[in-house]
Amino acid sequence: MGMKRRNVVLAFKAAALLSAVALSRNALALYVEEFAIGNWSNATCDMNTGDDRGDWPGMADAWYNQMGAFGHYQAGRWVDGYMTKQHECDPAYNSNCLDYWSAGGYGYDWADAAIAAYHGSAVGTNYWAGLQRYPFYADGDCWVRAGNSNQTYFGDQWLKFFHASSCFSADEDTVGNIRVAMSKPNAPLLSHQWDGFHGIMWINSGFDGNYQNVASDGHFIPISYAWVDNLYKKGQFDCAWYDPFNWFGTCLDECPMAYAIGASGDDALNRLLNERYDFVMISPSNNNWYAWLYYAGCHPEGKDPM
Amino acid sequence: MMYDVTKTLKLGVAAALAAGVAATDAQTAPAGTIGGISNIEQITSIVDAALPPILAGDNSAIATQLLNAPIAPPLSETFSPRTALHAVLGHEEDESAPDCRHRTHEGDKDDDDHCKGGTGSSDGSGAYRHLSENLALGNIRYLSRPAFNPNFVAADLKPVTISDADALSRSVSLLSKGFGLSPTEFPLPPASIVGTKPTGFVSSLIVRGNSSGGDAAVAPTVIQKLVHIRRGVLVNLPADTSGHMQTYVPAPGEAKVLMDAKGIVGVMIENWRELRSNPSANPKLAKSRDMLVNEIAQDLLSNGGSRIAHLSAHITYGSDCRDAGFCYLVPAVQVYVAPATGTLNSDQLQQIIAGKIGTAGFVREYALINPDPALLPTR
Repeated sequence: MGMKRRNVVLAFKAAALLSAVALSRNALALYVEEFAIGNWSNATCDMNTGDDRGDWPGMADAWYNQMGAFGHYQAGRWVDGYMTKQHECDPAYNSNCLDYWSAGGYGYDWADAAIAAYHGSAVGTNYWAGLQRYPFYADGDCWVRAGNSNQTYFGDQWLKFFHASSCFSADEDTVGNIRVAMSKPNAPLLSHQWDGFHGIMWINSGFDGNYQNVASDGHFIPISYAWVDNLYKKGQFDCAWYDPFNWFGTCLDECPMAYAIGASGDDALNRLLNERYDFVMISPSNNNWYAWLYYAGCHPEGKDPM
Repeated sequence: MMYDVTKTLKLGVAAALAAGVAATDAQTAPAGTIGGISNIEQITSIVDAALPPILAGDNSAIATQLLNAPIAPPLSETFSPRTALHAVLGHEEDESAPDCRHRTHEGDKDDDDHCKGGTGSSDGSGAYRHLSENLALGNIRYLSRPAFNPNFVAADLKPVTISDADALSRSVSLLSKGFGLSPTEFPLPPASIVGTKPTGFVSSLIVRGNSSGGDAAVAPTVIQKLVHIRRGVLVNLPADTSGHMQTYVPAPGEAKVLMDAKGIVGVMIENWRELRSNPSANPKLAKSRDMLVNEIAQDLLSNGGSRIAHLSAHITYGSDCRDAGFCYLVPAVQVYVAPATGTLNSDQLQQIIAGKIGTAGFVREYALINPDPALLPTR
C-alpha cells in the first residue's frame, strides 16, 4: 500500500509544485497517523505510575477516527508499545531515524497529517521535547526533540499538518524555533502547520469530543481555527472550590496555539488562516516567516500568560 | 422561570469579599513547583485539604439539593433551525442546493450531525456556511468561512472592535433567543456582585507574525472574539464558614459564539443534552467526606495520579446518558490534578527532562451518591 501511494502521489506532488493553486479533497485524501502514549510505567523511560494517563490515547483516537470518517486513509495508529523517537526523528540527525518509514505508517513524516499525544517539556527557548516509552537505541534518549534540536525535520517527505497534544508543544517561549523543525535544510518540501499548547495541557475522556471536532471542523474552516477554538479552555482548571466558573479569577486555562510558516508575513498568515484538511496549499518555499494564532492572555499551569 | 441569583448570593459572596478572602489573582502566578510522587498518606492529606469544606460526615442535605435543582427544558423543545438561521443571518436560509454534508462517509449513524441549511460547497476555495444539529447528543453547530483570497495581505486583517461586554450581551441573546438555550443555565455572575468578572467569559483571538530574523513583524491583531459559556445549574449550595459558596454547579454542555469584524461566524453548542434528575438516586446514600477522600486517594494512587503539585476539587454534575436521548444528572466531585504548578523556569523544565517526569494535568469525577443496593442487578 505504501509504495503504491508513493508512486501515485509523487506524480501529484510534481504537478503541485508547478501550480500555485491550492488542492481540494477531491484531488487527495490525506494519509493520517496517530502516535499516543497512555502508559509509561510498564516501559523503561518513566516507570512512575503517577505519570500514566490512560485517557490520553482516546483523545488522539477521536481525531484519528474522525479523520478516517472523512475519508482520509488511516495509515498508522501507534499507541504505547515500543514507542521511541525513531518514529519521529530525521535521518539527518541519525541514520537509524525512520521518520520517513512507510511500513504500518511507522514514521511521522509518512503521514500528511499526524497527531502525537504524550508528556512534554521545553528546553529553554529552544524546543519542545516529548517523552517516549523507551530510549532510542541509537542515542539512548527518551525524548523526541523538535525546534532547533536538529533532530526533527517534518515535511521533507509528507507531513503537512502536525498536531501535538502535549505540554509545551507550542510554547510561546519557543515560538521562534518551531519553524526550524518544519524545514529540512535543502529539502524542496516543507511542513505547513504545527499546532500545540503553551504550558501544561489537560487529559480527560470528556475532552475526546474536542479532538473529534478539530478533525470535523478542519474540513469546513481553517485547521488553525479548529484547533484553537475547540481546545481552548478558559478558566476551567485549578479553580478554588467555590469558583468553578472563574467568577473571581482563581482558575487557569488550557492554551492551544496554531502556527504556520511562509516565505513572507503575508504568506505565513494566508496559510495559517486558510489551510484546511481538504484545502491544502503547495509547500511553503521557505520558513523565513512564521505566524501564529492564540487567545490573548491565556494563562496555563506551568507558564506565564500569553 | 428566572432565578434571582443576586439575592441568593448576597450573603455568601458579600461575606467572602468583606473577609478579604474572595479571590487569588490567577494572573500573578507563583514560582513553579514540580510535584513528587506521593504515598497514600500524603495523597489522602492533599485530597482532604482540597475537597470543598461544605462536604462533611453527612452529605444527604447537599445531595438532596443537587437532585432537586431546577432543570431547563431540552433543546428538542426549544430549538428551531429556522429561528437559529434567522438569528445568525438576519434572514431565513433560502439559498438553493446547499452542500449540507457534515460527514463524508456512507450511511447516517446516530452520532452524525444533521445538516439543516447552508450555502456554498464545503470543498474548494469558496465561501461556505452550514448549520447542523444532533439534538439527541446536544450538538448544534454553525460554521462559516469567507472565500479564499489568493491576494491576501496582512493589511486585509480586520480587527474586531466590539467590546467584551457587548460581545457577551449579544451572545447571550443569540444563544437564548436564537438557539433555544435557557439563560437560566448560563452561570454568569450578576453585575451587582463586586469583584466578579462577567467579561471573563469573553476572549480575544490574536494572530501575529514574525520574520525569522526578528527584524520585521506582523502586529498582533484581534481577529475574533469568543464567548464561551459552560453550562451551569443554579443550586446555591451552602456557604462555608468564610462565606464562600458555590452557586452554580457545572453540568455537561458548553456553548461558544465566535464573531469577527463582520459579525457571527460560528456557534458551537456541544453536549447540551436533555438532563433529568434521577428518580432512583437516594440522597440518604450520599458518601461522607471520609469516604470520598479515601475513594479519591486510592484511585489516584492506583491509576496514575500520585504525582501532585496542585489538586483542586469542586462539586459538579456528571451524566448518566441513556439511549432514549436524555441523561440523568449525577451529583459528583470533580478533581483536577496538576503534576506541576506555577511558572516553571528553564531549570525546572530541564529538570523534567532529566528526571523523565510527566507534565499533563488530568480531570476525574467521583460520584457523590452511592448506588442504591436494592436497585443493583441481581442474578
